[in-house]
Amino acid sequence: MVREAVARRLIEPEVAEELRTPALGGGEEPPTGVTSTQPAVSNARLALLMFLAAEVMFFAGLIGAFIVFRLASPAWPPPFQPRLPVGVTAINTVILLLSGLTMRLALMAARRGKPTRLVQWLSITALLGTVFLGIQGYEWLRLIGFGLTLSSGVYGATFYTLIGCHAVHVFGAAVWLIAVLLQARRGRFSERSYAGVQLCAMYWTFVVGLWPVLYGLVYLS
Amino acid sequence: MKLSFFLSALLAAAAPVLFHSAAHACAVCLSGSADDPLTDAFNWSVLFLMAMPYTVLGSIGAFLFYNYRRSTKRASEPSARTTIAPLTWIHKESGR
Repeated sequence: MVREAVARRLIEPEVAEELRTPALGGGEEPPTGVTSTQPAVSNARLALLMFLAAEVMFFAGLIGAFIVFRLASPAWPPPFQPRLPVGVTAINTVILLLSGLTMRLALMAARRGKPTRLVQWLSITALLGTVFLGIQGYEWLRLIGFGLTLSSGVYGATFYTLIGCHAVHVFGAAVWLIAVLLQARRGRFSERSYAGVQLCAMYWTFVVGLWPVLYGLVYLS
Repeated sequence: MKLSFFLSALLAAAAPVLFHSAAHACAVCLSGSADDPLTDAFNWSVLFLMAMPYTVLGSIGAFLFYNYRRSTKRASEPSARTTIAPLTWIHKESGR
């Protein structure tokens, strides 16, 4: 009896219309046909986008300085300076690009609500990022051993400033990634709530995308 | 007050004309020859840095536009709209 009354009440036209209206938005439907009141880009993503724009300008300044030194120099690398490890760094570039791919797969797993896959892909990304940093650190130690230091000349100064700044960014991104990974292992992300993974993926994509540009400029030019 | 401010502004604006040799803000401007590699290097660097803000702002604009279009498309899909289909089940169930 009660169930029938509830059912009758639910199929009444006024109640049905009320149920059709989005809970948060209220009022009439927007003219564009958008029924959801959620913004196209969340505030967190927009904030990170602004931060990344500032980061791009920061690296643009460093690249601008590098261009001046590189084009003004009659011989590059300058005489009596060690050559950079182009081959090993090419392999390292592939490793970092692969980490960008695995990060993308992690994001897709988060979107589809697959927590086990998410943890797996995040772990692989963190591992690849750590390997990249490890190889970079090893190569730096070798270069210092060969006499290329920050104060050994313009060549060393531009190399360590540009590549060093990128390495610091990768390190920061790796720390963030590990924090996201720990949260994912605790089951903090779901199909509907994965903003943490999304933001981390944006930042990771930035550091991955920046590297081939720096590699081409510093190692191959 | 207004007059003194106006005169100060006028003097500041006229200063580069009066003391033009000291007003060369950029050491590269008017000093390097056209075939000097340093001048060429500065030119390329300035060109690169000038292009960057437009590239960054253009990329952000394109990203926002793409996201807006995508969310609009998703929202206009029939599956994205709230339907009253589950109530049919309640009605059937209550009719037994």
